[in-house]
Amino acid sequence: MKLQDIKDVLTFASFRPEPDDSNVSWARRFPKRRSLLVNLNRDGVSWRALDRGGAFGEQGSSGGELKDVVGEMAEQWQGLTDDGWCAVSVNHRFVISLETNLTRKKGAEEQIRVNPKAALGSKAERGKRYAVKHNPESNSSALLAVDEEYIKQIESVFNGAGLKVGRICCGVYGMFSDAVDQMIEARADYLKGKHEEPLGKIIVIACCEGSVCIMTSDEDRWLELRSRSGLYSADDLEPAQNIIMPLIENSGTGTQIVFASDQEGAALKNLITSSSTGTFINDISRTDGLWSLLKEK
Amino acid sequence: MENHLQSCHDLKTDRPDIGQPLPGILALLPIVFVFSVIAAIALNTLFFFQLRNSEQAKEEWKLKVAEESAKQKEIVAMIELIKDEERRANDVRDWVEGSRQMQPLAVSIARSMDVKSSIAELSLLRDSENPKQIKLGFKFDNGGQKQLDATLEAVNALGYRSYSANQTAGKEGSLDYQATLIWQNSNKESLNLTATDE
Repeated sequence: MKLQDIKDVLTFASFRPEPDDSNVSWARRFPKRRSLLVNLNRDGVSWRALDRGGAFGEQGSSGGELKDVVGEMAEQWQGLTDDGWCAVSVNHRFVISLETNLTRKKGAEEQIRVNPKAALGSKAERGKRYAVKHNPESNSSALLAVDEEYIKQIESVFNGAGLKVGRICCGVYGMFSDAVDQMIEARADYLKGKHEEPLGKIIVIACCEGSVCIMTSDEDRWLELRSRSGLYSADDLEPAQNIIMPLIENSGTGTQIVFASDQEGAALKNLITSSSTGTFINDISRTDGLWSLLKEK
Repeated sequence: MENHLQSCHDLKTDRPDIGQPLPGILALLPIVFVFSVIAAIALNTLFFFQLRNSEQAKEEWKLKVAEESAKQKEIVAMIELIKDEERRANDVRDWVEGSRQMQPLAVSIARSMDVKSSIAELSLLRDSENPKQIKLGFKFDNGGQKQLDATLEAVNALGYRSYSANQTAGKEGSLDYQATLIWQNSNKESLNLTATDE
């Protein structure tokens, strides 16, 4: 037993999850400790600090290459954290696709992370890291793929600047996954109510920092999924509208839309409402959507 | 709801030695340790002050014992002085008690003499070392043994007893008598003295 182990027991550190334990939520990993939430876009970086009470603190954004921005901001970011721990959200160089018949064996989700070839078989590409969201009622799954080289670059740049990476996730996929979870729960509650009418088609839309992920479903089947990164900005929502509206129009009237967005994408909801008739929009967006997701999950 | 609370996906390169947190029940261990340390510090502080107080009390008691010993020595010396005084007082008392006035004895002997008898010689000697004893030397003419008995009866009436008596009879009723008189009965003496004074 090392002296550090004894110290960890006496300071109760051994009873808390480790800062880079991905199985534990960020809030549980950093109780009463300051940390930093960082979002990486194609053309810039935005960040938000978390104070010891878990409340949001200083925020900012900077355009430019990741390496340049991190090198420039490293000292300030270290000052915003207790030990330099950061949660990083990537919002480009990812692909979200709808797959079928992915393995759902026990431990398969963990295996996808560490050995995607063994879990995904021929669907796994070299140089990609994966995360998966299964439809519990059918054989379809939403699969996230991110360039491994990009992940390693992020880790290298942050470590080189004296920062520690506690999590790397895809922001829009996280919001999409959260929205899907809520949709599944709502559907389960609806089915428990023994309603005679079917729930019908549901479209899940997640918008985060210029990235969009849309999935259409009909009852228990996930039908179609589209995702794009760097698609819109607060001043230019048209590209996002162009990719969302055809799916809504094809779904027909009576379609329910589950809409989750950050503040920049909030205006999209109004555009969708004004452009489509006969649809019901359930807006589950939260203030500071991405940051809240990174903080709580 | 359970799914909704699941942690977010993670794509970072995992550290191979990430450990699970220890079970919460084991948190009692450091709590007990901390309480033990606090209790040990508190008890040590308490014992430290008590030890210091006891040492002070010990020193005070040592001083008191020394003071009392000195007082005891003074008292013992005083008792010795008192005993010495008492002894000397006893000696004085003995001397006073022994140094009875010899005048009543001489008067008593003289009064005991019959008309026909006469004292030829009378000596009363007192030893300064032993004042209770009086050496009587008595020589008279005429009367013989009868006169001696009368005289001794008068002496006895004053509370004296005769010891180591030695008598020598002479011609025509003369007698030489020597003895040591020791005074014994103070009541008789006081009575006689009172009678004598009157």
